[in-house]
Amino acid sequence: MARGGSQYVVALAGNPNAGKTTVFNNLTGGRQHVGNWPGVTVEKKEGPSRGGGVDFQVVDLPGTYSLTAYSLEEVVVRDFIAVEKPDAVVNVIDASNIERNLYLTTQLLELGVPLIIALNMMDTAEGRGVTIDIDLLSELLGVPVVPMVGLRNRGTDELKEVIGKAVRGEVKFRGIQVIYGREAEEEIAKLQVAIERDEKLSKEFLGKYSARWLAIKLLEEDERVEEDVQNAAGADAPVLKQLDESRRHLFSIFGEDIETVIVDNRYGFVAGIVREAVKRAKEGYESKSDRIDSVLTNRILGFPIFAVFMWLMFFVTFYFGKFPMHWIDSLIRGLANFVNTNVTSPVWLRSLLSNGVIGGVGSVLVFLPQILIIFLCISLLEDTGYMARAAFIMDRIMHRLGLHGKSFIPMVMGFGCNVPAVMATRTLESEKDRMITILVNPLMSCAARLPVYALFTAAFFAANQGTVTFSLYLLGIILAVAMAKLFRKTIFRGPSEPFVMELPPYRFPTAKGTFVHMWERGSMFLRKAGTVILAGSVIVWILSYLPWGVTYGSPASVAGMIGRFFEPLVKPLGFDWRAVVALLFGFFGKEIIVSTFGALLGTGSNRAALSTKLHHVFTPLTAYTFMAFTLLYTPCLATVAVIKKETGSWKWAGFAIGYSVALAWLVAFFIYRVGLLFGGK
Amino acid sequence: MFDEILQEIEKADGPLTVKDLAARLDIEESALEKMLEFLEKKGKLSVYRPGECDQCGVVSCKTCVFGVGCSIAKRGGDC
Repeated sequence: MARGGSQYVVALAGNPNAGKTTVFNNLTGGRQHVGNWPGVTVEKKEGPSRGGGVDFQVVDLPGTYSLTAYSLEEVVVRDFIAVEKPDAVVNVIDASNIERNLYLTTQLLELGVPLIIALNMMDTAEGRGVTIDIDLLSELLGVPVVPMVGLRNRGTDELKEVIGKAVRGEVKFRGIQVIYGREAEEEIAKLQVAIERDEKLSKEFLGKYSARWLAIKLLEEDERVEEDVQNAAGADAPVLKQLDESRRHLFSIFGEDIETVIVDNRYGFVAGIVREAVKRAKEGYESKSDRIDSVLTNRILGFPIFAVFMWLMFFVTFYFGKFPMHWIDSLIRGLANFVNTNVTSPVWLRSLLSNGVIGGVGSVLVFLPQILIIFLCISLLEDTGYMARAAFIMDRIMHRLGLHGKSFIPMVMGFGCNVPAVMATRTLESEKDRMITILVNPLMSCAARLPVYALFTAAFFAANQGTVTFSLYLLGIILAVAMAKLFRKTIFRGPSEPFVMELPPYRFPTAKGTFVHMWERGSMFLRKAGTVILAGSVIVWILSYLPWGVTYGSPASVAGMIGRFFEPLVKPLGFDWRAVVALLFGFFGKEIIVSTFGALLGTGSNRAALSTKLHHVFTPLTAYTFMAFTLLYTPCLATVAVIKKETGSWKWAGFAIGYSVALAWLVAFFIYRVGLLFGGK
Repeated sequence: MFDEILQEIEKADGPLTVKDLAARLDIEESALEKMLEFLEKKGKLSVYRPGECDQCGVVSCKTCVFGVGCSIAKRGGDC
């Protein structure tokens, strides 16, 4: 390689974000040549420097966490060090994450290169309460260690000095290496002998790598090294036979692949060094996120706080939603009046337009403000990072019940829409956990149920809309957890796999991001209003209008006949035939329940009239019972379709419908009967 | 190291965050993340990272409740 007129070459290696580029700039003073590594598009930077009385060329290697050939960067670093043989390698380490960074150091030591540790970001480490005994670290690793603060250009002169001495051969490297335990070391030794005895291999590789390094890489199942060895020595070379024997022998001892054993030993070696040379303050560093988490995910406070956030969300939704709702309501009523005034004949067309189309779609569309506000709240909770905590809090409860905690994560998504939530169960590796999560997911109250709650709470619980809606969401969560437990105990028995969760840091949401999120979901509701809800409303109108000549929406209409046929099933719950018709059409989309009542009660888009007329059909007790039934009974058509797709079976889709209808009936019966006992009406 | 990690997860009373686990084992959090990554690759455990669509299996960032925080969503892309 071009050495830029300097006699010596020094490579900079290190983890991504360890401050390697800053150290490179400090060493070279910004004089650098930027190009690409041969054959790849990974950026290569080099520049001249001088220290300890010698000139040297500094080459900035790509950032890597290890030297295993998993990525292009790792191969570039490995090949450069092995083939170009730099006179020294400076391993730039982020002192505040020293334990992670030292893993790469173990592999650089294994390569047998003259290594210098540049212990960067010492100020950050100190700020986090991390104290490093530099001399002891240097002694334990057997290489020079230079503490630095790259960003403030501290330690650069010292590093240059050490580099100068190292390239002149004035620094002794003790070559400390990881010991992999007696059994593995015996096999490494056998492989080393086989490699050294193979003439082709010796000629091809031993100028670049040590036999020990090659032996370890072969045992580690490094595909690239294995391929190179096969190409050089042939597929039936003794070294490959020895490799096969060694792997089998080690597997019989450890019961797992040797790569795991090797990586485990490296981390063990690093942990030993850290235990000796690094002291972490007992309290440890606490970021802002940590401090917030200590309250929000607290074992005792976590769930009550989550419940308060939920309650607030519904309070805000209904309190602020009612103003724009009145405006939309007036607009839709004005439109319906315009049609009634201007379309004089035929009568059926006027009825179709005002009752079916405008009344049907309008009675649902009027709840758009609430839908948008609840999505705004959900977006805010997500964008700040709180929703992940909500999953974590619920996860803890699920885990206590012997369920896989990860199951709750797709369930939280069910608050938005059950369809993507069912799809999100793909994250669960265990088929049983996945099936349980799919089956209970529809019990989480999706946004489509909100118009139903909004209509009924406004009509019967106007003073406590938010609280009543909150109770329904809570009911959904409790029943989802209970059903998951039941399924785990009966249909899907078995243990759960170990599971750890990474919580993202809290962040300030941006107005644009939050509104875009809200609109993405809100627009889905609008699309649904123009398609499924419109079609459903027209069908309900037809069934309420026919047979020709009957009173619109009367018991004598087709809708009335269907409702009366199934009425005995819901009589014990305090519902009449109109509730049956609404629930039947609600299968196509839960919002259609609202428009169906609009059609059956002949109020069209007049929300105030609909609220009043609902009092002819429901009491406060049966209204709450009906909302609970709506929450729990059958997933909507789109969710059923996705359950079939995800489980690959109509059987499970049918089961989801069957058990949820039965559960809805039982819960509604319980609420109604207990309510009656307590004097409810 | 790996045995200690797996045992600690097994005996945990409830789910664990990486931070909790790091504190229990007195391992640096960032080092533990790399170890968990390896164990996950070997199928010995699973790590949930909210916001990483390829991890969470959500079909679209638009429908992902965690999506806005992940790198894909930040770039304005879809999963």
